[in-house]
Amino acid sequence: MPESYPEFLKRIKVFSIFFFYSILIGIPIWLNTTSIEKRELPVNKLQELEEAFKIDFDIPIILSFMGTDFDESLINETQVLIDEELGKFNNGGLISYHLQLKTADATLEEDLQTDEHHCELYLEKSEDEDRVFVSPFTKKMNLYVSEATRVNGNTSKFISNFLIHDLFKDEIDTLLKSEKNFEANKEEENFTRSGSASESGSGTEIDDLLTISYSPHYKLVFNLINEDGVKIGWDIEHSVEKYFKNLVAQLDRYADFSIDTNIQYYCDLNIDESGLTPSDNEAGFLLTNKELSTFINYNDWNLNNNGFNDYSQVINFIVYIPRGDRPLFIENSKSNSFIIPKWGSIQLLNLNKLKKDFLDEVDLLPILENFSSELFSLLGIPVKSASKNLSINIEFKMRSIIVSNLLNTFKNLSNLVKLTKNLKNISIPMETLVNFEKSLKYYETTIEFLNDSKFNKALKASSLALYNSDQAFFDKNMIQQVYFPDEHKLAVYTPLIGPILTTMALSLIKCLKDFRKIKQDIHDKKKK
Amino acid sequence: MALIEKIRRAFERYDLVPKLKKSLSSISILLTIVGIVWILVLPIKGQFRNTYISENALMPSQAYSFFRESEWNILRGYRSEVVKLESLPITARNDVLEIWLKSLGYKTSKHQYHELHSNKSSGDTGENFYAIMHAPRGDDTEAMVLAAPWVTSDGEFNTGGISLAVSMANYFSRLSIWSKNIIILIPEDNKYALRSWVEAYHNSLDKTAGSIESAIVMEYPSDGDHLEYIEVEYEGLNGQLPNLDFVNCAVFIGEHEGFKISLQNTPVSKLTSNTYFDRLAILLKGIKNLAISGVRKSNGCESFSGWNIQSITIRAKGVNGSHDITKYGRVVEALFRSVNNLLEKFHQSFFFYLMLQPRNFVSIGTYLPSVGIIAVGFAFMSLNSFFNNSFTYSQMIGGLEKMCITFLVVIISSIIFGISLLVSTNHINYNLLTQFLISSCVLMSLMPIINLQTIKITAKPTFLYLFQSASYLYITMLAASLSVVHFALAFSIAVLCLPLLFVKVQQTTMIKLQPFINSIALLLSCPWFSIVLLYYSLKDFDSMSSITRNLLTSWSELQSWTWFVIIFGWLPAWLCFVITGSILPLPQVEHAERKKLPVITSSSSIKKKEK
Amino acid sequence: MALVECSTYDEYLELKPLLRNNILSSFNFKLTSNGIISNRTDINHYDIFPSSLGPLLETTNTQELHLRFTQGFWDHEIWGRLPFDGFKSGGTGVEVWANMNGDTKDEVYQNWIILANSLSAFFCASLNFIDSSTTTFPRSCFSSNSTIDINNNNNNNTSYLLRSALPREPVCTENLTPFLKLLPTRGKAGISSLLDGHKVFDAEWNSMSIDIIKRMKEDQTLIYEMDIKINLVVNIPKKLSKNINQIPKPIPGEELRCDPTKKSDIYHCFPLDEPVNYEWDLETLFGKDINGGIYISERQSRVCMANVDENYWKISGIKKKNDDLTFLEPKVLTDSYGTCFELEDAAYNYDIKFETSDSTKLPPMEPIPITVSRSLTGYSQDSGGFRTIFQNPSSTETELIYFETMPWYMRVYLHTMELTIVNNINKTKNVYHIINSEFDEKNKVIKNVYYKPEKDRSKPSHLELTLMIPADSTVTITYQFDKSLLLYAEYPPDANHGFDIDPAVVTVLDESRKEVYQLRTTSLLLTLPTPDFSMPYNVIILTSTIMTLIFGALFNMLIKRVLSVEEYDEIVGQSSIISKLKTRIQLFKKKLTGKTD
Repeated sequence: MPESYPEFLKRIKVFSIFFFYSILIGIPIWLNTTSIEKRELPVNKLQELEEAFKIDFDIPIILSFMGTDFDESLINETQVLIDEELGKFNNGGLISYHLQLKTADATLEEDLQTDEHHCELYLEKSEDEDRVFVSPFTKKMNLYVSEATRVNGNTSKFISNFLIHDLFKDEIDTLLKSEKNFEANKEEENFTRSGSASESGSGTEIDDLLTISYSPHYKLVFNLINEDGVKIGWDIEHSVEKYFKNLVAQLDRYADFSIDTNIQYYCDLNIDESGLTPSDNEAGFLLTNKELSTFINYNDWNLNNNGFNDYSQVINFIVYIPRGDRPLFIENSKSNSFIIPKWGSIQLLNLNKLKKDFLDEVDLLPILENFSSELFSLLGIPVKSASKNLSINIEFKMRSIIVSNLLNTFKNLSNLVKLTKNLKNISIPMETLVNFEKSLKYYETTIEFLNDSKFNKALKASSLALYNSDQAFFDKNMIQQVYFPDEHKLAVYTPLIGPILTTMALSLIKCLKDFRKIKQDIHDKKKK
Repeated sequence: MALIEKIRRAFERYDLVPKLKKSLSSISILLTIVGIVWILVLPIKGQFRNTYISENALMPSQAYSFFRESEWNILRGYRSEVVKLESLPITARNDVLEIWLKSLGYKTSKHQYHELHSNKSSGDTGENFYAIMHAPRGDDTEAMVLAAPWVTSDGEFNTGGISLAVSMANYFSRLSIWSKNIIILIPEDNKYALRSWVEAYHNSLDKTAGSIESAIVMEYPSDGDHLEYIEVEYEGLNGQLPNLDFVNCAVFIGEHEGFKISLQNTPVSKLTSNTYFDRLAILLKGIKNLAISGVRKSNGCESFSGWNIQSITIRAKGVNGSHDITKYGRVVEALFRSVNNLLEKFHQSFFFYLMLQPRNFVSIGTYLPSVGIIAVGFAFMSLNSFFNNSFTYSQMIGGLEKMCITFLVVIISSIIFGISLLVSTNHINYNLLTQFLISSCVLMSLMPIINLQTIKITAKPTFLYLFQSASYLYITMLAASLSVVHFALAFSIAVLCLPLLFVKVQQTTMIKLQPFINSIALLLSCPWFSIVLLYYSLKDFDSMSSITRNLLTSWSELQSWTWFVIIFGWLPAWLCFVITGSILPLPQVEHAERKKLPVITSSSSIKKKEK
Repeated sequence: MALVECSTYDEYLELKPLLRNNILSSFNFKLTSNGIISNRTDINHYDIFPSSLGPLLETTNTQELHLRFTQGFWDHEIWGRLPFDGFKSGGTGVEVWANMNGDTKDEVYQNWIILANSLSAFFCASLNFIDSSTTTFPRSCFSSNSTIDINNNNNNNTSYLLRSALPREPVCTENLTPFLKLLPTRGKAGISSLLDGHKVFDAEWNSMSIDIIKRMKEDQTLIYEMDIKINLVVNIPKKLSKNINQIPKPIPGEELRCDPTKKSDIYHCFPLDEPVNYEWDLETLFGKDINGGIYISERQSRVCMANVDENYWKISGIKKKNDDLTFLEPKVLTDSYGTCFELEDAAYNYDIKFETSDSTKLPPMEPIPITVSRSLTGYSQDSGGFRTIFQNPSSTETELIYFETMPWYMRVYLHTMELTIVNNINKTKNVYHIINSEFDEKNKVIKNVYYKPEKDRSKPSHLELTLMIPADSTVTITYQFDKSLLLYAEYPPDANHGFDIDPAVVTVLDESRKEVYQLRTTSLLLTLPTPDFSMPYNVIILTSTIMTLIFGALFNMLIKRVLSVEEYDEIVGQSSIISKLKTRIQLFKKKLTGKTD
């Protein structure tokens, strides 16, 4: 005899309750408790920014006329020339680059903030041919325009040529290159941890291998290192005051520098005495490249002094004093010094000549001269370039750094996104998210600063953006070890889930069958 | 669920239930037999396993041990002095030892303790001597104990043991390999004195050396230079055993040094052979010794059990063997080195096992079922005595309250009896007590006959049946629950209780033989009767009274709860059977008609009829 | 600003023979830095003071840093007082405490973590395991001994004292090298050239300590003072025998030293006590001799030997180059005890020879104010007890501060604290329970209790007692604790070793409540209930299986129809094929017969 309808209903009720608890409550809870932390990265925002990515540099150039026979129209002509010269930038590439010509009287004082990368041109006539004079200290440049040019009305051409093909040449090339590189990078599908600050630096300099990657904080350490234990002092205090303070002051806009000095004793070299070749001209030994490569005894000398906040770079300057009885000379180097790429510079100083246990300014002068020049090459600031003017070069450098920072920031963040997309069971902890957002925020501020050409602030902001992006990328909590990989989870819990689901499924089917039958019966009854 | 459904229906189909009911008693007996056979099967080849060292860090006798050559002279030197000490009182001896060990740089100290049961001449305070060597460079958190009691378990003066201990102390102090502290302990005897020291170490001693990892008790009574073989004892109290790795190490090292190892005091003649019966003998002796550890004469190592200390006794046997005494010392040294190697506590290997041979063992999983099966057997018996009688379910249940009350009365009275004995251990004449116990045992066992002949106490049959089934159940529970912590005891009690399966409620209709069966069964399974058994089965008790004494004092002295098991479990159960076996049932006026079968079965049976 | 040339360096080695042929050698190195400038624009000059530490201390705003690496058991019965009254030696393992400035506790704690991580990198120690669950803020036990008032020094932020200890840390050779690297001589010359890792850590007991204190000089310049000490106790007989052969072979029969008064022949030999006449030099102790003096410091580095009886002891300093030996003449210096030898020439090697005819002839051991021993009681897996014994041998009552910190998985119950006072002279014994009222009036042993309970997984419990131990009597303090269960991941890889508990620190005060002596108890080994780590998979699977069984049973019971056997059979009958066929056939027949009902 078939089951009665109310009975059946009761069973259905029971079943549905079971269903409710196990499916609608049990499974979510299970998933929740066994899942790994995955924060939602603001991917869309990143994409928006990436699409909208556009750096435009707007460099004011104040043009003032010495003598009357130049008229305002010249400015417009030149501007036109420059604009079409720079056209290749502004055709919707990542970077747009402007040189704004202004007249001296048109520019009010408040426009010239300290951190605005303007430069001043002074037009003068010259009796003979065209000449350019760039002052090494100030950002003033005198253009002497010859009669001929003036007559042929090539003055504007002359100016624009000077600006684009001489003064700003390097920078323009650099920017173009880095732009290209980034495009290329965007193509290739690698989310290896490349393009982090470590190798970013000034992305595309020629002497890339040499330069230390950019950081807002640098620390210059002057080491006086003795091979033996003979007490020695040096007047580094005043010498540094003399030769480095003003340099540092000039570099102030670029980054801030702190200086430590340090004397060490008993720092013997790990080179075998027997293998040394005696120097021909004087009594002593020659160091070939072989020895130089292993010159520094990193694990013995205390040189591991980085400045305990993660984003500060150390530049070492070492004055090494060999034993009195064994002077050392570096093969074919008259300055008897050599540079260690991305690390610092070393100067050998044999005291056997000057018999003294104290180095005064006179002794230190040449050494520090040498160091100062090497500082620039370590920082990657071009001194040999067309324009000898330091501050302009620094500005070049700053701008290119800004670009590479921003580009690398994007590289990191997009790589991070790729990573999280591709590796399903990688966890995205809170820290990562926070850093991600920070870095985006700094990116935006950078752009703002650039727009109202506050380059120094922009630099700081961009480096922070990069730093945070690195932090986000290299968060160690992302690879937290799980007891069993995520794909095994189901396998481990099968004994629980499998049977329950199957039983319920089967009973569901059963119920449906019965339901049909009951309907049938009721139907039959109606018939009768 | 569905499966169970099917089975149930099958039962109904073929009317299995009534059949089963009829054969319950025979089933239970069958089960018990199986249970016993299970144990007998274990020593057959293929049933047991070979021992192995599972903790890699131990590395037994990897290092070449240097306790030889001139160390022997030193040993002899010490011994020539130790011999003189035998005549002195304990304190004087300890003073001498103190001088010796102080000069070796040990931190010596003495531990006064009070005899709980002053049965010995030396008054009721004793003194243990111990000396600590703090391992140089060690972190001073762990220690290893080398104990040599003044008196061996056989009551002899432990000349060799003591002098060996001292000379090894001398030797150890010159080694610089130790990462754990070393404690040289010279207790007065290896039972209560030792136990009280261990207790004091964990409660009240001023000079301590961290948590004790392992302890080795050395016994070598003779003052000779040679020995035949060494004997390893490992039973702890209350079913505890040292980690199997530790025992294995001892065996491994001993054999590596060329010794024959004897377990469960196997005689030297048997040491070479490894037949089924040898294994069986060791197995059974193992169970017995474990069951009565604390009651039997102590072997030293059990005094350490309870504090997660792995302890064994290594006893030198025979005085004129081929092996010399330094070899015996080297075994101990190698053991110390092994333990010294340990970075973690013993945790790898088994803590519950039964040895069959020095190199063969069975682990708990293999032997535990036997006692389980026996317990089930009793359970079936209790069902049997509930169902297989001429009463309906409701009638049976009717006597429940009365049954419970009597049951409680029996249990409580037995507990009171037991406890009262326990508290008055110092004022008891044990000879009298033993005689009383045994005589009472005999008397009560005869109750069925006496009652039938003369007294004729009667009770409702339902009550008797119910009561009996309850008492069977009680034994089941006793065996089952005890088996987890103390297999040996559980097993032995279960086996000793087997005769109770034959105790039946007397019925006028029954054969006249039943009372006698009852009495014999009762007698055999009486707790006190087992004292007699013990006394006659193993030789190492001077009198029965000593057994009773140990039974009672083992709690206060060693915290061994064998006595409680008896008075909480065994004795009440037995008393219950005395009652059920001896009281006569009231003759029933009219027989109730048989209990109705469940509706379902009836219907099915009806169906059958139709076919 | 003008460069402050005030960096100084001084080093000396002090040797002190102890009973039972032990010798305590303590290496002392004192460094002071140049004037330091906190703001980063100006120039910091380092020469003697290691440039690797300065910036760290600056960035973490540390006023004082104290590090202790200690190993072994100090045997006060034979060796007497700890060197430097115990203020320079920690408990077993590594101990570090620092005095740091900061506006808020959190800020300071962050700096503390930075400091710990950097130090762990520097000293190859696992200091990076320091976290909030091991860090305490001691109150009175580690009083800061810097002279500058930190609150004045840099205004509006206060200074905090943080302390942490790692008793498990095995102190070994890797830890010594960084110590030497801190020195200007870097172990290449002077007394530090004696220090060789293998020899140092072969000692019976060794302790290395660093104390860095920021101090304000008269001329208002801030400087760092660093005090490095390395103390070790070497057992001379052991060392001598080891130098002969590493493995402890038995002594050859003819070299046995037997007691003639006892039975002694070719078989028997009752060993005599250790000989008392020895002859050794620095080379036997340290495996090499001093590699010349140093020029860095304005004072010569020197080796000083404690005053001993000339009749029994002969000490001579030797300076040697290649093979010409010259004897140094001993000096008596004002600032260091005993006879000293100055190492004035860098070109020479120096060695000190010791000869003694009776090594027991030593100046009397000055008494230790108090001995403390601590042990765990009980044996259960879920609870246990602490038992600390203070013994006051002196005839004056001694005040001390007892500092103890316990990991969070020990749930301490202070109300169970019990106090037993035994007078050692007239063996009177009385027991007090801490929470009963008359306790306070009756005796004044516990003067002050400071207790900060633990917080699971984040804070250790921190107990500081100020005790007044009566004259020559023994005070025993006991209290109980529960062991809490750890999470699976929280167990260390060698969980079955047990968990080490920090040594307790005892600071003895004098009448004027000045710290006069400090000692530490040994660390303890706590066993927690430990799971079998091969299990988790099985556990998950087993439990879920059981759950499913229950579920299945319940579900079926509720969901299935209840039928009587007949009904069941009926249904089965209907559903079975044969019956279906039957019915079909019947229908068919009906059709044939054409009957209708």
